[in-house]
Amino acid sequence: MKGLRGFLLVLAVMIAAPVFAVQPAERLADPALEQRARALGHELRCLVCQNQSIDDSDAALARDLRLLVRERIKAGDSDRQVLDFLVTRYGEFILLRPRVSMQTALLWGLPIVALGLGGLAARALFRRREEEAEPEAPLDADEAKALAAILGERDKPS
Amino acid sequence: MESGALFHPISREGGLVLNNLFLSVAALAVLIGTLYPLLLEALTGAKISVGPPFFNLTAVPLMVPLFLAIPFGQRLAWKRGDLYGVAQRFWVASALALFIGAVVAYLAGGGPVLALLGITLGLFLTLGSLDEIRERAMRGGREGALRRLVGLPRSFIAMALAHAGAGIMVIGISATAFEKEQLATLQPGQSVRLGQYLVQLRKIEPYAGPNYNATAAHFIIRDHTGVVGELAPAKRVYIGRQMPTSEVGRLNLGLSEIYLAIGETSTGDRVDLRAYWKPYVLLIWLGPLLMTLAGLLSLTDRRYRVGAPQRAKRQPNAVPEPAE
Repeated sequence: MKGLRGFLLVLAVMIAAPVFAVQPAERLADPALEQRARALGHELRCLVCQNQSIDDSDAALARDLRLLVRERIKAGDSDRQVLDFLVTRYGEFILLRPRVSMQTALLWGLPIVALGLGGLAARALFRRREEEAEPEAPLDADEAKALAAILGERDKPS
Repeated sequence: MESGALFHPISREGGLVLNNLFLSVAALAVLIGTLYPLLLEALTGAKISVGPPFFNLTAVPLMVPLFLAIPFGQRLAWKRGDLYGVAQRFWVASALALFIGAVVAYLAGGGPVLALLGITLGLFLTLGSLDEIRERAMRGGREGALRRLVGLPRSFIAMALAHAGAGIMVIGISATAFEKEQLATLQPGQSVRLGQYLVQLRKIEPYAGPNYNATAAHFIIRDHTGVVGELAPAKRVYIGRQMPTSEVGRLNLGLSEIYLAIGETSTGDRVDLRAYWKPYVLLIWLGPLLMTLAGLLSLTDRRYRVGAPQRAKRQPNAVPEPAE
Protein backbone atom coordinates (compact mmCIF):
# COMPACT_ATOMS: atom_id res chain seq x y z
CA MET A 1 0.00 0.00 0.00
CA LYS A 2 2.82 2.31 0.89
CA GLY A 3 4.55 1.45 -2.38
CA LEU A 4 1.44 2.34 -4.34
CA ARG A 5 1.16 5.67 -2.56
CA GLY A 6 4.77 6.43 -3.31
CA PHE A 7 4.20 5.52 -6.92
CA LEU A 8 1.13 7.75 -7.14
CA LEU A 9 3.09 10.58 -5.58
CA VAL A 10 5.86 10.22 -8.15
CA LEU A 11 3.25 10.05 -10.90
CA ALA A 12 1.53 13.18 -9.61
CA VAL A 13 4.84 15.05 -9.49
CA MET A 14 5.59 13.96 -13.05
CA ILE A 15 2.17 15.00 -14.36
CA ALA A 16 2.22 18.30 -12.52
CA ALA A 17 4.55 19.80 -15.08
CA PRO A 18 6.97 22.09 -13.30
CA VAL A 19 6.68 24.84 -15.86
CA PHE A 20 7.74 27.50 -13.44
CA ALA A 21 11.35 27.30 -12.49
CA VAL A 22 13.43 30.45 -12.62
CA GLN A 23 11.60 33.04 -10.51
CA PRO A 24 11.57 36.72 -11.45
CA ALA A 25 13.20 37.74 -8.18
CA GLU A 26 16.21 35.48 -8.83
CA ARG A 27 17.29 37.27 -11.95
CA LEU A 28 20.48 39.29 -12.22
CA ALA A 29 20.09 42.91 -13.16
CA ASP A 30 22.64 42.68 -15.98
CA PRO A 31 21.00 40.86 -18.95
CA ALA A 32 24.37 39.61 -20.25
CA LEU A 33 25.23 38.01 -16.91
CA GLU A 34 21.70 36.61 -16.59
CA GLN A 35 22.08 35.11 -20.08
CA ARG A 36 25.24 33.33 -18.93
CA ALA A 37 23.48 32.10 -15.79
CA ARG A 38 20.64 30.67 -17.90
CA ALA A 39 23.07 28.92 -20.25
CA LEU A 40 24.88 27.41 -17.28
CA GLY A 41 21.54 26.45 -15.73
CA HIS A 42 20.86 24.13 -18.66
CA GLU A 43 24.20 22.38 -18.14
CA LEU A 44 23.62 21.62 -14.47
CA ARG A 45 21.57 18.85 -13.00
CA CYS A 46 19.11 19.30 -10.21
CA LEU A 47 20.56 16.71 -7.85
CA VAL A 48 17.28 15.61 -6.33
CA CYS A 49 15.30 15.36 -9.59
CA GLN A 50 14.93 12.80 -12.33
CA ASN A 51 17.45 14.15 -14.84
CA GLN A 52 16.11 17.71 -14.85
CA SER A 53 18.29 20.75 -15.26
CA ILE A 54 18.26 23.31 -12.46
CA ASP A 55 16.60 25.77 -14.83
CA ASP A 56 13.67 23.42 -15.43
CA SER A 57 13.18 22.28 -11.87
CA ASP A 58 11.17 23.96 -9.17
CA ALA A 59 12.76 21.97 -6.37
CA ALA A 60 14.12 24.04 -3.51
CA LEU A 61 17.62 22.69 -4.12
CA ALA A 62 17.51 23.74 -7.77
CA ARG A 63 16.60 27.23 -6.64
CA ASP A 64 19.55 27.30 -4.24
CA LEU A 65 21.85 26.17 -7.05
CA ARG A 66 20.49 28.84 -9.39
CA LEU A 67 21.19 31.47 -6.77
CA LEU A 68 24.65 30.01 -6.17
CA VAL A 69 25.46 30.15 -9.89
CA ARG A 70 24.38 33.79 -10.00
CA GLU A 71 26.39 34.58 -6.91
CA ARG A 72 29.55 33.15 -8.48
CA ILE A 73 28.91 34.96 -11.76
CA LYS A 74 28.44 38.24 -9.92
CA ALA A 75 31.68 37.58 -8.06
CA GLY A 76 33.41 37.59 -11.45
CA ASP A 77 33.87 33.87 -12.07
CA SER A 78 34.13 32.62 -15.64
CA ASP A 79 31.68 29.92 -16.78
CA ARG A 80 34.44 27.38 -16.39
CA GLN A 81 35.21 28.50 -12.84
CA VAL A 82 31.55 28.28 -11.88
CA LEU A 83 31.36 24.71 -13.19
CA ASP A 84 34.64 23.77 -11.46
CA PHE A 85 33.35 25.22 -8.22
CA LEU A 86 30.13 23.21 -8.42
CA VAL A 87 31.96 20.01 -9.35
CA THR A 88 34.28 20.26 -6.34
CA ARG A 89 31.23 20.75 -4.16
CA TYR A 90 28.79 18.26 -5.66
CA GLY A 91 30.90 15.96 -7.87
CA GLU A 92 30.77 15.19 -11.58
CA PHE A 93 27.17 14.07 -11.10
CA ILE A 94 26.01 17.68 -11.36
CA LEU A 95 27.18 18.09 -14.97
CA LEU A 96 24.62 17.13 -17.62
CA ARG A 97 27.43 17.15 -20.19
CA PRO A 98 30.03 14.84 -18.66
CA ARG A 99 33.64 15.96 -19.05
CA VAL A 100 36.01 13.88 -21.12
CA SER A 101 38.09 11.78 -18.74
CA MET A 102 39.25 8.21 -18.35
CA GLN A 103 35.82 7.41 -16.96
CA THR A 104 33.88 8.90 -19.82
CA ALA A 105 36.32 8.05 -22.63
CA LEU A 106 34.05 5.26 -23.86
CA LEU A 107 30.94 7.43 -23.66
CA TRP A 108 32.40 10.09 -25.92
CA GLY A 109 34.59 7.76 -27.94
CA LEU A 110 32.21 4.97 -28.92
CA PRO A 111 29.95 6.98 -31.25
CA ILE A 112 33.01 8.37 -33.05
CA VAL A 113 34.64 4.93 -33.25
CA ALA A 114 31.39 3.40 -34.49
CA LEU A 115 31.08 6.02 -37.19
CA GLY A 116 34.70 5.48 -38.25
CA LEU A 117 34.42 1.68 -38.31
CA GLY A 118 31.12 1.85 -40.15
CA GLY A 119 32.64 4.19 -42.72
CA LEU A 120 35.59 1.86 -43.23
CA ALA A 121 33.28 -1.15 -43.54
CA ALA A 122 31.17 0.67 -46.12
CA ARG A 123 34.28 1.62 -48.07
CA ALA A 124 35.56 -1.95 -48.01
CA LEU A 125 32.16 -3.14 -49.19
CA PHE A 126 32.19 -0.82 -52.20
CA ARG A 127 35.83 -1.67 -52.98
CA ARG A 128 35.27 -5.40 -52.96
CA ARG A 129 32.14 -5.17 -55.05
CA GLU A 130 34.02 -3.11 -57.59
CA GLU A 131 36.90 -5.59 -57.80
CA GLU A 132 34.67 -8.64 -57.97
CA ALA A 133 32.45 -7.31 -60.69
CA GLU A 134 33.35 -8.29 -64.20
CA PRO A 135 33.78 -5.46 -66.65
CA GLU A 136 30.65 -5.17 -68.68
CA ALA A 137 31.15 -6.49 -72.19
CA PRO A 138 30.09 -4.05 -74.90
CA LEU A 139 26.98 -5.01 -76.86
CA ASP A 140 27.60 -6.82 -80.12
CA ALA A 141 25.85 -5.75 -83.31
CA ASP A 142 22.80 -8.01 -82.90
CA GLU A 143 22.25 -7.00 -79.30
CA ALA A 144 22.53 -3.32 -80.17
CA LYS A 145 19.95 -3.76 -82.92
CA ALA A 146 17.58 -5.64 -80.61
CA LEU A 147 17.96 -2.96 -77.96
CA ALA A 148 17.25 -0.18 -80.43
CA ALA A 149 14.14 -2.03 -81.62
CA ILE A 150 12.85 -2.44 -78.06
CA LEU A 151 13.55 1.16 -77.14
CA GLY A 152 11.94 2.39 -80.36
CA GLU A 153 8.80 0.42 -79.65
CA ARG A 154 8.54 1.68 -76.10
CA ASP A 155 8.90 5.32 -77.11
CA LYS A 156 6.19 5.13 -79.78
CA PRO A 157 3.13 7.06 -78.65
CA SER A 158 0.48 4.55 -77.69
CA MET B 1 21.84 -4.98 -52.21
CA GLU B 2 23.02 -8.57 -52.27
CA SER B 3 23.17 -8.60 -56.05
CA GLY B 4 26.96 -8.45 -56.18
CA ALA B 5 26.73 -6.36 -59.30
CA LEU B 6 28.89 -3.34 -59.96
CA PHE B 7 27.98 -0.34 -57.89
CA HIS B 8 29.70 2.82 -56.86
CA PRO B 9 29.81 4.71 -53.57
CA ILE B 10 27.98 7.50 -55.43
CA SER B 11 24.76 5.62 -56.11
CA ARG B 12 21.38 4.94 -54.61
CA GLU B 13 22.94 1.99 -52.77
CA GLY B 14 25.70 4.25 -51.48
CA GLY B 15 23.06 6.69 -50.25
CA LEU B 16 21.20 3.94 -48.42
CA VAL B 17 24.41 2.71 -46.78
CA LEU B 18 25.22 6.27 -45.66
CA ASN B 19 21.66 6.66 -44.38
CA ASN B 20 21.82 3.43 -42.36
CA LEU B 21 25.28 4.21 -41.02
CA PHE B 22 24.39 7.67 -39.71
CA LEU B 23 21.03 6.65 -38.26
CA SER B 24 22.57 3.57 -36.59
CA VAL B 25 25.37 5.63 -35.02
CA ALA B 26 22.83 8.19 -33.78
CA ALA B 27 20.76 5.38 -32.22
CA LEU B 28 23.93 3.93 -30.70
CA ALA B 29 24.84 7.31 -29.17
CA VAL B 30 21.41 7.50 -27.54
CA LEU B 31 21.75 3.94 -26.23
CA ILE B 32 25.24 4.55 -24.83
CA GLY B 33 24.22 7.89 -23.34
CA THR B 34 21.28 6.22 -21.60
CA LEU B 35 23.06 3.15 -20.24
CA TYR B 36 26.53 4.55 -19.55
CA PRO B 37 25.75 6.21 -16.20
CA LEU B 38 24.13 2.97 -14.98
CA LEU B 39 27.03 0.79 -16.11
CA LEU B 40 29.66 3.17 -14.75
CA GLU B 41 27.99 3.32 -11.36
CA ALA B 42 27.58 -0.45 -11.24
CA LEU B 43 31.21 -1.09 -12.20
CA THR B 44 33.11 1.71 -10.47
CA GLY B 45 30.62 3.39 -8.17
CA ALA B 46 31.23 6.75 -9.84
CA LYS B 47 28.10 8.75 -10.55
CA ILE B 48 27.82 10.89 -13.66
CA SER B 49 24.89 12.47 -15.49
CA VAL B 50 24.27 12.39 -19.21
CA GLY B 51 21.74 15.00 -20.24
CA PRO B 52 20.43 17.01 -23.17
CA PRO B 53 23.77 18.76 -23.90
CA PHE B 54 25.39 15.38 -24.61
CA PHE B 55 22.61 14.25 -26.93
CA ASN B 56 22.57 17.55 -28.79
CA LEU B 57 26.31 17.35 -29.27
CA THR B 58 26.21 13.81 -30.67
CA ALA B 59 22.98 13.80 -32.67
CA VAL B 60 23.23 17.16 -34.45
CA PRO B 61 26.63 16.59 -36.15
CA LEU B 62 25.32 13.22 -37.37
CA MET B 63 22.00 14.52 -38.67
CA VAL B 64 23.29 17.58 -40.53
CA PRO B 65 25.34 15.72 -43.18
CA LEU B 66 22.58 13.15 -43.53
CA PHE B 67 19.94 15.83 -44.12
CA LEU B 68 22.23 17.57 -46.61
CA ALA B 69 22.63 14.32 -48.54
CA ILE B 70 18.94 13.37 -48.69
CA PRO B 71 17.86 15.43 -51.75
CA PHE B 72 20.86 14.03 -53.65
CA GLY B 73 20.35 10.48 -52.47
CA GLN B 74 16.72 10.32 -53.49
CA ARG B 75 17.66 11.25 -57.09
CA LEU B 76 20.78 9.11 -57.50
CA ALA B 77 20.48 6.24 -59.95
CA TRP B 78 20.94 2.68 -58.76
CA LYS B 79 24.43 1.24 -59.06
CA ARG B 80 26.18 4.27 -60.50
CA GLY B 81 24.99 7.80 -59.91
CA ASP B 82 26.13 11.14 -61.23
CA LEU B 83 26.35 13.62 -58.36
CA TYR B 84 26.91 16.64 -60.58
CA GLY B 85 24.07 15.71 -62.90
CA VAL B 86 21.80 15.19 -59.92
CA ALA B 87 22.74 18.56 -58.46
CA GLN B 88 21.87 20.22 -61.76
CA ARG B 89 18.38 18.73 -61.66
CA PHE B 90 17.31 20.64 -58.56
CA TRP B 91 19.51 23.71 -58.56
CA VAL B 92 16.45 25.94 -58.85
CA ALA B 93 14.94 24.46 -55.67
CA SER B 94 18.32 24.80 -53.91
CA ALA B 95 18.69 28.42 -55.01
CA LEU B 96 15.13 29.10 -53.84
CA ALA B 97 15.95 27.62 -50.40
CA LEU B 98 19.05 29.84 -50.13
CA PHE B 99 17.02 32.86 -51.21
CA ILE B 100 14.23 32.26 -48.68
CA GLY B 101 16.85 31.59 -45.99
CA ALA B 102 18.44 34.95 -46.80
CA VAL B 103 15.05 36.67 -46.68
CA VAL B 104 14.32 35.11 -43.27
CA ALA B 105 17.74 36.27 -42.02
CA TYR B 106 16.99 39.77 -43.28
CA LEU B 107 13.50 39.90 -41.75
CA ALA B 108 14.76 38.52 -38.45
CA GLY B 109 17.45 41.19 -38.44
CA GLY B 110 20.26 38.69 -38.06
CA GLY B 111 19.87 36.40 -35.07
CA PRO B 112 21.65 33.18 -34.23
CA VAL B 113 23.69 32.16 -37.28
CA LEU B 114 23.36 28.42 -36.62
CA ALA B 115 19.57 28.70 -36.44
CA LEU B 116 19.46 30.60 -39.73
CA LEU B 117 21.65 27.95 -41.34
CA GLY B 118 19.34 25.32 -39.87
CA ILE B 119 16.28 26.98 -41.37
CA THR B 120 18.02 27.13 -44.75
CA LEU B 121 18.95 23.46 -44.42
CA GLY B 122 15.32 22.61 -43.65
CA LEU B 123 14.14 24.62 -46.66
CA PHE B 124 16.73 22.93 -48.88
CA LEU B 125 15.58 19.52 -47.66
CA THR B 126 11.86 20.31 -48.04
CA LEU B 127 12.01 22.03 -51.44
CA GLY B 128 14.74 19.74 -52.78
CA SER B 129 12.69 16.65 -51.95
CA LEU B 130 9.33 17.95 -53.21
CA ASP B 131 10.83 19.30 -56.42
CA GLU B 132 11.42 15.80 -57.73
CA ILE B 133 7.65 15.25 -57.83
CA ARG B 134 7.30 18.32 -60.06
CA GLU B 135 10.29 17.23 -62.12
CA ARG B 136 8.94 13.75 -62.76
CA ALA B 137 5.47 15.04 -63.61
CA MET B 138 6.88 17.63 -66.02
CA ARG B 139 9.23 15.19 -67.68
CA GLY B 140 8.23 15.20 -71.30
CA GLY B 141 6.59 18.61 -71.29
CA ARG B 142 3.66 20.38 -69.74
CA GLU B 143 1.20 18.34 -71.75
CA GLY B 144 0.05 15.32 -69.78
CA ALA B 145 1.85 16.51 -66.64
CA LEU B 146 -1.26 16.02 -64.53
CA ARG B 147 -1.78 12.52 -65.85
CA ARG B 148 1.82 11.66 -65.13
CA LEU B 149 1.53 13.18 -61.66
CA VAL B 150 -1.40 10.94 -60.82
CA GLY B 151 0.41 7.98 -62.30
CA LEU B 152 3.60 8.41 -60.26
CA PRO B 153 4.32 5.43 -58.03
CA ARG B 154 2.95 6.04 -54.56
CA SER B 155 6.16 4.79 -53.00
CA PHE B 156 8.02 7.58 -54.80
CA ILE B 157 5.54 10.27 -53.74
CA ALA B 158 5.71 8.92 -50.18
CA MET B 159 9.52 9.12 -50.21
CA ALA B 160 9.48 12.75 -51.37
CA LEU B 161 6.82 13.68 -48.79
CA ALA B 162 8.64 11.91 -45.94
CA HIS B 163 11.88 13.70 -46.79
CA ALA B 164 10.00 16.99 -46.93
CA GLY B 165 8.57 16.14 -43.49
CA ALA B 166 12.11 15.81 -42.15
CA GLY B 167 12.88 19.23 -43.62
CA ILE B 168 9.79 20.78 -42.01
CA MET B 169 10.85 19.34 -38.67
CA VAL B 170 14.35 20.83 -39.09
CA ILE B 171 12.82 24.27 -39.74
CA GLY B 172 10.71 23.92 -36.58
CA ILE B 173 13.68 22.88 -34.46
CA SER B 174 15.83 25.71 -35.81
CA ALA B 175 13.06 28.24 -35.15
CA THR B 176 13.18 27.46 -31.42
CA ALA B 177 16.31 29.65 -31.31
CA PHE B 178 14.03 32.63 -31.96
CA GLU B 179 11.68 31.93 -29.08
CA LYS B 180 11.10 34.70 -26.57
CA GLU B 181 10.84 34.24 -22.84
CA GLN B 182 9.78 36.77 -20.29
CA LEU B 183 9.75 36.68 -16.50
CA ALA B 184 7.86 39.33 -14.63
CA THR B 185 6.00 40.11 -11.45
CA LEU B 186 2.74 41.82 -12.37
CA GLN B 187 -0.13 43.54 -10.60
CA PRO B 188 -3.55 43.78 -12.26
CA GLY B 189 -3.41 46.34 -15.05
CA GLN B 190 0.32 45.95 -15.62
CA SER B 191 1.69 44.38 -18.77
CA VAL B 192 4.88 42.92 -20.11
CA ARG B 193 6.27 42.77 -23.64
CA LEU B 194 6.82 39.32 -25.18
CA GLY B 195 8.43 39.69 -28.60
CA GLN B 196 5.84 41.42 -30.75
CA TYR B 197 3.09 40.79 -28.20
CA LEU B 198 1.94 42.64 -25.11
CA VAL B 199 0.71 40.48 -22.24
CA GLN B 200 -1.49 42.33 -19.79
CA LEU B 201 -2.75 41.04 -16.44
CA ARG B 202 -6.45 41.85 -16.10
CA LYS B 203 -7.39 40.31 -12.77
CA ILE B 204 -6.46 37.64 -10.29
CA GLU B 205 -9.33 35.40 -9.29
CA PRO B 206 -9.50 32.55 -6.80
CA TYR B 207 -11.90 29.74 -7.52
CA ALA B 208 -12.72 26.33 -6.10
CA GLY B 209 -12.64 23.12 -8.13
CA PRO B 210 -14.17 19.79 -7.05
CA ASN B 211 -11.10 18.79 -5.03
CA TYR B 212 -8.75 21.72 -5.28
CA ASN B 213 -8.49 25.43 -4.66
CA ALA B 214 -7.12 27.48 -7.49
CA THR B 215 -5.93 30.96 -8.28
CA ALA B 216 -6.36 31.98 -11.88
CA ALA B 217 -4.67 34.96 -13.47
CA HIS B 218 -6.58 36.40 -16.42
CA PHE B 219 -4.41 37.82 -19.18
CA ILE B 220 -5.14 39.66 -22.41
CA ILE B 221 -2.65 39.26 -25.24
CA ARG B 222 -2.39 41.98 -27.86
CA ASP B 223 -0.26 42.69 -30.87
CA HIS B 224 -0.20 45.84 -33.01
CA THR B 225 -3.52 44.87 -34.62
CA GLY B 226 -5.37 44.48 -31.31
CA VAL B 227 -6.42 41.66 -29.00
CA VAL B 228 -5.29 38.22 -30.24
CA GLY B 229 -6.50 36.17 -27.31
CA GLU B 230 -7.14 35.72 -23.63
CA LEU B 231 -5.53 33.21 -21.31
CA ALA B 232 -6.11 32.21 -17.72
CA PRO B 233 -3.20 30.15 -16.36
CA ALA B 234 -3.79 29.00 -12.82
CA LYS B 235 -2.09 27.40 -9.88
CA ARG B 236 -3.96 24.73 -8.04
CA VAL B 237 -3.56 23.24 -4.62
CA TYR B 238 -5.22 19.85 -4.25
CA ILE B 239 -6.86 19.74 -0.87
CA GLY B 240 -6.30 16.05 -0.22
CA ARG B 241 -2.50 16.11 -0.19
CA GLN B 242 -1.66 19.81 -0.39
CA MET B 243 -0.12 19.20 -3.79
CA PRO B 244 0.49 22.40 -5.75
CA THR B 245 0.27 22.14 -9.52
CA SER B 246 0.43 24.62 -12.34
CA GLU B 247 -2.11 24.92 -15.15
CA VAL B 248 -0.55 26.43 -18.24
CA GLY B 249 -2.38 28.84 -20.50
CA ARG B 250 -1.77 28.01 -24.14
CA LEU B 251 -2.70 30.24 -27.07
CA ASN B 252 -2.41 28.95 -30.59
CA LEU B 253 -1.42 31.50 -33.25
CA GLY B 254 -1.26 29.60 -36.51
CA LEU B 255 1.94 27.58 -36.34
CA SER B 256 3.23 29.51 -33.32
CA GLU B 257 2.16 29.29 -29.70
CA ILE B 258 2.17 31.41 -26.57
CA TYR B 259 2.45 29.73 -23.17
CA LEU B 260 1.79 31.49 -19.90
CA ALA B 261 2.42 30.04 -16.46
CA ILE B 262 2.18 31.64 -13.06
CA GLY B 263 4.41 30.83 -10.13
CA GLU B 264 3.61 29.38 -6.75
CA THR B 265 4.78 32.56 -5.09
CA SER B 266 1.85 34.44 -6.63
CA THR B 267 -0.40 36.11 -4.08
CA GLY B 268 -3.79 37.77 -4.14
CA ASP B 269 -2.59 41.08 -5.57
CA ARG B 270 0.35 40.13 -7.79
CA VAL B 271 1.53 37.16 -9.85
CA ASP B 272 4.90 35.89 -10.98
CA LEU B 273 4.50 35.32 -14.68
CA ARG B 274 6.61 33.22 -17.00
CA ALA B 275 5.65 33.81 -20.62
CA TYR B 276 6.95 32.09 -23.74
CA TRP B 277 6.47 32.83 -27.40
CA LYS B 278 7.39 29.75 -29.45
CA PRO B 279 7.47 30.67 -33.13
CA TYR B 280 6.61 27.88 -35.61
CA VAL B 281 6.86 25.29 -32.87
CA LEU B 282 4.05 23.24 -34.41
CA LEU B 283 6.32 22.41 -37.36
CA ILE B 284 8.18 20.06 -35.02
CA TRP B 285 4.95 18.05 -34.79
CA LEU B 286 3.72 18.52 -38.36
CA GLY B 287 6.99 17.33 -39.94
CA PRO B 288 6.98 13.91 -38.24
CA LEU B 289 3.21 13.69 -38.84
CA LEU B 290 3.86 14.12 -42.56
CA MET B 291 6.58 11.45 -42.33
CA THR B 292 4.10 9.07 -40.68
CA LEU B 293 1.40 9.69 -43.28
CA ALA B 294 3.97 9.24 -46.05
CA GLY B 295 4.97 5.94 -44.50
CA LEU B 296 1.35 4.80 -44.60
CA LEU B 297 1.01 6.04 -48.18
CA SER B 298 4.06 4.05 -49.22
CA LEU B 299 2.34 0.90 -47.92
CA THR B 300 -0.46 1.42 -50.45
CA ASP B 301 2.01 1.31 -53.34
CA ARG B 302 0.98 -0.71 -56.35
CA ARG B 303 3.47 -3.48 -55.72
CA TYR B 304 1.86 -4.26 -52.36
CA ARG B 305 -1.70 -4.04 -53.70
CA VAL B 306 -1.53 -6.05 -56.87
CA GLY B 307 1.63 -8.12 -56.64
CA ALA B 308 0.31 -11.41 -55.39
CA PRO B 309 -3.05 -11.67 -57.19
CA GLN B 310 -1.43 -10.99 -60.53
CA ARG B 311 0.99 -13.82 -60.08
CA ALA B 312 -1.87 -16.18 -59.39
CA LYS B 313 -3.70 -15.17 -62.56
CA ARG B 314 -0.74 -16.01 -64.71
CA GLN B 315 -1.19 -19.75 -64.15
CA PRO B 316 -4.64 -20.58 -65.46
CA ASN B 317 -3.53 -24.11 -66.34
CA ALA B 318 -2.38 -24.99 -62.88
CA VAL B 319 -3.69 -28.43 -62.04
CA PRO B 320 -5.41 -28.54 -58.69
CA GLU B 321 -3.98 -31.15 -56.45
CA PRO B 322 -6.46 -33.77 -55.23
CA ALA B 323 -6.98 -33.61 -51.52
CA GLU B 324 -6.33 -37.26 -50.80
